[in-house]
Amino acid sequence: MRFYNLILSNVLRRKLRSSLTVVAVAIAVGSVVALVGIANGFRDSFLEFYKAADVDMVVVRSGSQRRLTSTLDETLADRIQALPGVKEVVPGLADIVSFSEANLFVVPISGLIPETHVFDHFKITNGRTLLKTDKKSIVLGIDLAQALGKEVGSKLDVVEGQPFEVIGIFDSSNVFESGSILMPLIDLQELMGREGQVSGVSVTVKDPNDHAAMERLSEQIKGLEHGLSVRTTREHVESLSEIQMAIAMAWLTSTVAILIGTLGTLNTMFMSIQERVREIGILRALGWERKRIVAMILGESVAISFFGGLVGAVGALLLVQLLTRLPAVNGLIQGRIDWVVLLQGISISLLVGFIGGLLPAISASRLTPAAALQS
Amino acid sequence: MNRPCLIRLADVVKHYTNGDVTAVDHVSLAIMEGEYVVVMGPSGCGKSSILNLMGALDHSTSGEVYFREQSLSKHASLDRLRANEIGFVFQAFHLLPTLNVLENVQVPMFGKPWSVAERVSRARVLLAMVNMTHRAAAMPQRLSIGERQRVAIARALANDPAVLLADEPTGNLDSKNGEEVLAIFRRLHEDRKMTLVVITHSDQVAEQAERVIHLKDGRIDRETLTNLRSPN
Repeated sequence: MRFYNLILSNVLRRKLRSSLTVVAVAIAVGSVVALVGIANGFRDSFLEFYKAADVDMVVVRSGSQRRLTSTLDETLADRIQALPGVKEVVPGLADIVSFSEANLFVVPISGLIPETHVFDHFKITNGRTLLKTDKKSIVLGIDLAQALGKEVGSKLDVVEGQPFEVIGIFDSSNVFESGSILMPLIDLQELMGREGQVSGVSVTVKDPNDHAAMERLSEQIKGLEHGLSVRTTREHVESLSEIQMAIAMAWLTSTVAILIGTLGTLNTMFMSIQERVREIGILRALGWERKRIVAMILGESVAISFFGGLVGAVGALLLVQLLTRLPAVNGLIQGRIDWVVLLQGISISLLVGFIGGLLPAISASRLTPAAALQS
Repeated sequence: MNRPCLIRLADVVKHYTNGDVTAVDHVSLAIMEGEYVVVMGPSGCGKSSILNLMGALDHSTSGEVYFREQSLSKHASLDRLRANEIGFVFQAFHLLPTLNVLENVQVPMFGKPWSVAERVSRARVLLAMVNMTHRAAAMPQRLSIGERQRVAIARALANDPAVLLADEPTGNLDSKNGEEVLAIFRRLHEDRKMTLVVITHSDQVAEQAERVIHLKDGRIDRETLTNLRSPN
């Protein structure tokens, strides 16, 4: 018999109580894995957008945490293009519109220069892509087209009284793009009254592996104008307030669940100790040292929590898969969870088990053998 | 030949409940190596308290308890002392219900540097000694009362202790099972020269001891030597 056999037999001895604790920990870990996983997926969607468009750096107005509040002069793009090491520069204007009749209230709309590199990753499934000669023409993401019931050739009032012709429908691996509208930059500038302005400039460098060169380019861009923020795509995405808020909310909510899971484990272990006082006295009488008693109690606590962590992680994976199939969230979240998040969840379960079992374990080890045997 | 002293109580007092109950009242006694001693007395006379003090399960209120002339109050680790030198047999057996017979016997062995195979091998030898080999895989709940006590004895001998302390070992047994337990104790004493201290109400148990200590109201009332005592 090994020590862990003893631990497992003690855990399985009280099936109902152990099961309830497993559930509590599973909910805690499942919350972390699901919420943080979804938030990270949200961030990764943004990253994929830039990666698919081959963007290495993003220039926005310094201090703008949201794309929509960043305002730059359109001519900045030409000045950046002239710098050494720059392969392509694509200015863009971002905004949001609503279609209340279809219950769609936050629909991204991007104004880009047609026939540039940034359009390469949009897979046109119907119709055609935008051309520089197009006026009052838009291309819809496939999810948005389905939600609005629009086809190629239909008209859509992007803003009330401003109809645009749908000339193409595209699919994208990025969930936000599939639910968005693309139109020529100049049209969006005119539509929103922001002539000569862009939200940001996407920069593709000649050698993205030359980090020193990218650092130099970054400094050169900052030198072009006061108040510019130049970041790699990852830095840019992680600085967005939407992303930060999503991740913060995920962890905040998860923390509450973790706290509840820890208290549940603590309660279970203390109750277990109360019922096993005499057993602990027997073990002390048989020569078990205090540290072995502590190790046994902690082992039981960690074993229960670890199993709860596994159940929670698997549950979260299944839940997220299920959620992505719901029409209401379709396109908003990704169905996969990063293995790092799964590992975080399992680690949290081990921590919950350790913290939840430590006080009871120490308490159990302090019982004198005679007093414990007489209880 | 004088036998060395294994356990010695020197003017030991034990109070309970904030001094309201004096379970052991200035008791001094010595248990020699290889001796078979029975402690008798009416209920509440302090027998179990003295056994607990001898076995380092409890602390005295005053006085000293010595094991091989080392004071227990200054001992580095009473847990290790119990693990290596002392075996306990309880009236209620106290087998762990989630482990089978073979596993129960191994429980004291975890502190020893033995492999799993060695632990199992030793446990089987001990079970053979108490005629319980055939029940090695059984759970305690499925054993008869006599079988449980025999397993408890095997467990008490797991680490080859210097002394076996037994608190009313036949108290819950019928006469047949009680005799079997006494036979085991006899073999341990005669064949392995084990030191035995047994608490009992039973004259039958007392008959096979070398010395009987009679307690009354927490004090030693008298001591008697039996015919079994060898001259030393």
